[in-house]
Amino acid sequence: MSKITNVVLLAIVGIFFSGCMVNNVPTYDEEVKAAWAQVQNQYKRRADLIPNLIATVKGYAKHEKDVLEAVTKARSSVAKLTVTKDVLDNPELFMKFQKAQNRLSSALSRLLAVSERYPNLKADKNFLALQAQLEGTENRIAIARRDYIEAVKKYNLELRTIPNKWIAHLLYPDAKPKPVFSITKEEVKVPKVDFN
Amino acid sequence: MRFLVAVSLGSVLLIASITFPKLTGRVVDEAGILSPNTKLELVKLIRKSEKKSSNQIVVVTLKSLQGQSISDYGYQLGRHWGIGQKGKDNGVLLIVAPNERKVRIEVGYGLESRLTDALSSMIIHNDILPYFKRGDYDGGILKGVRSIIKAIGGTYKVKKDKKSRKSVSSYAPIIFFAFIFFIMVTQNLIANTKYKSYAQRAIPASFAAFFIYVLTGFLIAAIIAFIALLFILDGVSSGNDNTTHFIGGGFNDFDSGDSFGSFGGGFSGGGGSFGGGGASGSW
Repeated sequence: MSKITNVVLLAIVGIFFSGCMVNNVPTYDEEVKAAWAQVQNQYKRRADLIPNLIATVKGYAKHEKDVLEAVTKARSSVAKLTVTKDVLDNPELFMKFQKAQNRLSSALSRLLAVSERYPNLKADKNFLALQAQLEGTENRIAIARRDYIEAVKKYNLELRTIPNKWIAHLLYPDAKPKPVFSITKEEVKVPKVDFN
Repeated sequence: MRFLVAVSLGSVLLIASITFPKLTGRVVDEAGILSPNTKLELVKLIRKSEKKSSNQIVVVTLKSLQGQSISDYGYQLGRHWGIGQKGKDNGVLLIVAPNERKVRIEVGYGLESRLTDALSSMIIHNDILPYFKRGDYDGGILKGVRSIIKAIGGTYKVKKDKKSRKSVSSYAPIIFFAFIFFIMVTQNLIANTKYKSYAQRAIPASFAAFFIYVLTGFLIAAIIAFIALLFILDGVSSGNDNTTHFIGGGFNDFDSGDSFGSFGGGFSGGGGSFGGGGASGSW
């Protein structure tokens, strides 16, 4: 057995040793995609709740036309955005998607604020159930977004730090850092501390 | 862009900085608001339901939410403890923070279809809060847990761990030892033939191959490495101190990675995950 073949074989072994690193980029990429799918799921879940919610609120608060319309409009603009997987590689589309969803969020919170004024609506079982579902969905959205940010962070770090960067550059030249959500002011707000 | 990264990093740090109580059992009364009798009763109730369905329910009372909203704290606690079985995500947390006057039912992914947000909210408002308003934590929590059990009862049937659910790596130690055994047998058979040197290399080579397999998760990589090493290694004697040490380390490492919820004396989470299902209330 000559020395050269030994070296070659050792090199092969070495590459397999680092096998885990070689696979990091596609693995993290899949994680980001999964997290993103979850974000979209939860947004869709929210959109699906809206027709029912509007029908229920209308039954008690017909005159709140503006608020109701704003929600309907925001929902349809969300539905119009056909968001495919490549939204992650398209920061502009990503921003658009996020803006549309944020608009829907604020329209919905206005609707819920308005409904506080209608005691009969607030006592409606259907409305209570919808409200709970909506709250739960907003919570899920927040978590899904946070998980997505985490996944992107891991992925982007992989593309930006040495030596992983070199491997990524060599083997996955197409891989680009992915966009994250800009967090709205409300979310940046420091949690309230109660000193009582 | 830099700002965004900073903000996202900040939020991550915020999440990382909260502390969680230890999972000491099915009832974790950190705030100390439950009577011993209630605790016993709760553990009995929950254990019975867990035996039937493998759904894990944990009641936890907290001294403080550490500045987080109860929904933020709740899902992180659930994930941290890993309540529910891995793959089924069938855990439920009933979280009570008496100092913040907040209560939450946190539902694992797998039970969201049974214990929906609306139902969780109803349980909180109809079953739990009326007691809490009177200061009766024992009564409210007992009633709440009973309703939760009713809601999720029979979602999953308990099955003994199916073989198919185990990942390939679960078999690694078995394959490994079978392999060693095979080599020992062949070594005796060919000890006096011209293949002797290969047999001597086989043991260190298989250790290395196993190590590579555990590291990378690729069986093929391990096999290739094994064959390569068979040729490279120069008659290393088997059974020296280094190699025996190696078995211990490798195996222990592996053992700790594989955690399932135990149903015996101790109690631990089964690796379930949470995504924010459930409802909160305050009084």
